[in-house]
Amino acid sequence: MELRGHLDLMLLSSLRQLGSAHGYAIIVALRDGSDGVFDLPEGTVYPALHRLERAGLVNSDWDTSGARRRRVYRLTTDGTAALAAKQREWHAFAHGMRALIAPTASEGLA
Amino acid sequence: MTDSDVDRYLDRLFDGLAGTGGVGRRALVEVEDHLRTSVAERVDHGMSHEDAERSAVASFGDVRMVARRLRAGHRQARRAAAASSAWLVVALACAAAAASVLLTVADRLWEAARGPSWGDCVASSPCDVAGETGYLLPIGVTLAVVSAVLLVSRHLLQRRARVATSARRLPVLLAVLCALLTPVLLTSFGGDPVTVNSAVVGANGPGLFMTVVASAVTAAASIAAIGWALLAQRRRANA
Repeated sequence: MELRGHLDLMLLSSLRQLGSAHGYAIIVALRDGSDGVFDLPEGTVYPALHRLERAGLVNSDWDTSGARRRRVYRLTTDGTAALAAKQREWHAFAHGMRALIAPTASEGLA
Repeated sequence: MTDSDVDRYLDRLFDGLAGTGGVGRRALVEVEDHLRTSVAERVDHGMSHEDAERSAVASFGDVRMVARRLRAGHRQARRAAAASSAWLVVALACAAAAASVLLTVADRLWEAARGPSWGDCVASSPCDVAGETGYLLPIGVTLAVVSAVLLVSRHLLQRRARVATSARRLPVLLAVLCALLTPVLLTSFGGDPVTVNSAVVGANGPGLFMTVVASAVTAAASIAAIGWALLAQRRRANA
């Protein structure tokens, strides 16, 4: 499935649900939360997370409580606002697309 | 002893991220943690260690693609931060220019209120108050409006994730720039800052006082900005 352009929305949504999480947990949440539909190449997630962090939408810290150091990400206030804006855009897009590809009355009768 | 699939992958990623500094080192630590976790999970599900490593590396994606994306993201973010910083600097420059012009207008009006016998009307030209404020006031107001529009639009676009945050080093760069520009501006007219200020804003009016206050505020803000930036840098280094 082509995910270009939707990855940011997916990552921000996952982080809102998870609260704070490291990259591996985010990928697992994306895969499991979409019933396996979004089983994206795992290596694409980290560049996207770094980009979101530089854009100020997420921040991160090292978590040293476990056996290995882990970078843990969480949404910022700007990230929460951006997520709301992207959700509105997505719903408008999905609404328009549904209307466009839905069968017309004549097709339905044929 | 031969390298495992994960070790080979990390070595190739290390080569692919050469020159990216701290960003690359951080990415390497994250990728290693990811791959080790992924391998451990696969082993827990019954895979052999060798198969788990092969599978984890394959799921992560082609190492050249990952390195390319990390480098591209790094470059894009730097460009976006530079554009955002430039936007902010232009807005702040307009605000500073607006404040300067409007303070000059206030100074001229204050001097005019002191009466026609004001002593330095030739040097600071308050004799034609109406003419001077007549062209300065629209300039000051225009600059203030432009600055406000730039700052508000940048803030709104940032909230919609259309504009990146400015570069982390921007406060320090601005502070250094201001610190370098202040003596240049004060001395380039004739060498003596007091004489220069007397000529520009009048020796006996409030202009000189305002200039001194503004300089003190600027100096304090510069020192505070540098201190804040150094503290933030230390906190990040300790994190």
